[in-house]
Amino acid sequence: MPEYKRRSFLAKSCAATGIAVGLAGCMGDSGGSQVQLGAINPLSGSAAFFGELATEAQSAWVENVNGNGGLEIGGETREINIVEYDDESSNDQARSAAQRLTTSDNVSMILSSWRSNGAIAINEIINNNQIPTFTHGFTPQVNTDGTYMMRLTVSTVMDAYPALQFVSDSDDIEKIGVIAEEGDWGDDTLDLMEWWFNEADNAGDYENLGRFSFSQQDFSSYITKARNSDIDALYVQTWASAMQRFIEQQDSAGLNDDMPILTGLGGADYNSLGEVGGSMSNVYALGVYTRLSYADDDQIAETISDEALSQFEDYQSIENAPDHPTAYNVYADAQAAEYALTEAGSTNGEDLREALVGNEITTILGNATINDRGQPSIPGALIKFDGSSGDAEIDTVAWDGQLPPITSIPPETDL
Amino acid sequence: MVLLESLINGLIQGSIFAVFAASFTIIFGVMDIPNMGHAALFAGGAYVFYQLVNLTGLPWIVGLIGAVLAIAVLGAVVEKTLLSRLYGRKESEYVFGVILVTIGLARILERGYAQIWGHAPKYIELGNLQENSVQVSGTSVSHLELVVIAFAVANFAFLYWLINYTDTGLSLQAIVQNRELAIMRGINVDRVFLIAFTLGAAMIAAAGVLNAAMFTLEPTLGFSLLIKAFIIVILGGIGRVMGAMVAGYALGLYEAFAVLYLSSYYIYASEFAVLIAFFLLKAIVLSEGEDSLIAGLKERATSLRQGVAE
Repeated sequence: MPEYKRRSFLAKSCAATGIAVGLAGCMGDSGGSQVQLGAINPLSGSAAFFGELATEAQSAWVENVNGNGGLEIGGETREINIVEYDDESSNDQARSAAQRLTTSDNVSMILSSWRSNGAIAINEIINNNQIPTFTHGFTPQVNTDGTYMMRLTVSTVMDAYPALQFVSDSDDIEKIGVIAEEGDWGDDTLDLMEWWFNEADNAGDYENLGRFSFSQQDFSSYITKARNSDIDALYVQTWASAMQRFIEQQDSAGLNDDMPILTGLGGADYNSLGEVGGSMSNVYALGVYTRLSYADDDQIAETISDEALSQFEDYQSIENAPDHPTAYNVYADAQAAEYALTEAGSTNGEDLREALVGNEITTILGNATINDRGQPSIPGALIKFDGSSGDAEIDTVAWDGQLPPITSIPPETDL
Repeated sequence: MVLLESLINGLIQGSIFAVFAASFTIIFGVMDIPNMGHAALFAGGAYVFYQLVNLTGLPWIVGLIGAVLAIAVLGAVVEKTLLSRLYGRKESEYVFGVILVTIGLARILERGYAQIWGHAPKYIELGNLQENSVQVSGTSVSHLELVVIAFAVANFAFLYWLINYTDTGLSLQAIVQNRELAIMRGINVDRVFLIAFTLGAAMIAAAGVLNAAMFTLEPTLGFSLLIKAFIIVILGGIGRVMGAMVAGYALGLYEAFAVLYLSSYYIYASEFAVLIAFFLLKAIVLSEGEDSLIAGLKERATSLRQGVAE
């Protein structure tokens, strides 16, 4: 992949030695007709698993686009090049990477940045420099009017929406227990619960059963508390490895025999669903990008548009395209960037933002519309899993539809 | 029922805390400096086991022995090649040197684990221990959880014997209590340092395997336990293995019951509040040269009673 340069290490080496010739090398290939795009990925630290997937998915996209001759931008066919930095799963490094990309590397867009705190850390820089940036952070704090920070992922306050719809429609569930991570995301989840059941007066009720840290190893006390509470289902807000630990432990304790386990985005975003497969019985998970992993299931296929399915087949035919939901999300971001570049016919940040906002964009995730606050309305499904065979298999689709772009409580959008 | 379940949860969690902290305090007590790479050795033991059992297919008992031996050797090599060179330096250089070397080692090992085995969480199987369970008054306890408690008990029984009935243990105690005096009495400090580091590494490797079998295995496994180990070791007394056991179980039981009533934020905050109160009490009660808070409190209480009687 000659056009794809991972330059974090090189950039640091250059800075450390102060070699002028090396510095020139660090500045990258800015000539020719190549379009420079940025990526800030966590290639080390706690989120490195996702960063490596992002690198692979973006490489696949670059190879695909350049292999087809490049993009048609304003009457000119141009190849693309990604300048990537490792944010080391740290806010400081993310900020410094955003500074370099927007000022030294002169990129037109940043295809990825990670974590909610990472998004907050770079928000001012990318807005001041008017560089449209896709984030995989979930915080609504960056969802301000006219922002250049975009996402095709759900916000923290959208996370529980399908599960709440399901609960309010259910005859069997009157009250749910909630355990949530400490921090903004957990706060947002509980705010949404409070608003949904008590202010918006939807059917059902909830009880806060406690908060935990992302590094929580042992969930047995939370499981004990849930089992001994007067609830009909348990909603769990966390993600990735913490979600995997919880799902495994609740299954060992048999909690899913007693009640449904409801999860939001985290449930759809396991590091490896295969690893927890047998523990997924009676577990409900929101699928935005996970749906594609089950696209060969008829019930799931019905929730995905034909165009998105067709694009997904193309994605799967790309050599080295990673088979993981996070990679699908990253690839969809790159597809949205592709749409913006060709639609705007320009590499100017302001033009690219204008192309992205308010227009329906079709990616492998389906049809999405990003609003002025950078938040998409995007299709999703609440999937009930069955793990009795030892693998996570689809039981039923409990809810599906277009997720509304909620960025505040009370919601500023019509639900 | 909920109280019994919480008690069992607390005993299991306390066993992990206690073994982690005991191995940490052996090194801390002897060397006067915390080993910031302890969590990385904890994960290392689990990864060696994962390699030997899950990937290579060896029996789990071979994997466990292999993990303990591999990490013990790694601990010995680190002590001999990196840390021993700092012992003769002036105090500030020694303190910062050991802390920085062990932090650096932890980062290198964590990155190495990720490079070799990836960042994704791994599940490790310990025979059928995870699958089989027994009922205790209507509460299900897996065989693995029983093994964790049994391992902790056996571990502390071994340490009690080692520390109180062997020359090595008496040397360890002597250095913890008064290093200068120990040297004057002819104790080979370099040898004891090596034994302490190797023993601590071997213990933490076994604990890492059990912890990973209970939960999941990741390169950062054990980092959250490192903070708890500081709390346990300080409350239990630096270098005091049995103190670590008592404080470890107390913390495990406290967390298991506290979660019924408090959010984790208040649980962690209260743990640190106890730590701060402990330091304040020591500063108020103890005179220069005194170390034991309990002994100091007893002495002050005796003086007070005598004063009242007079």
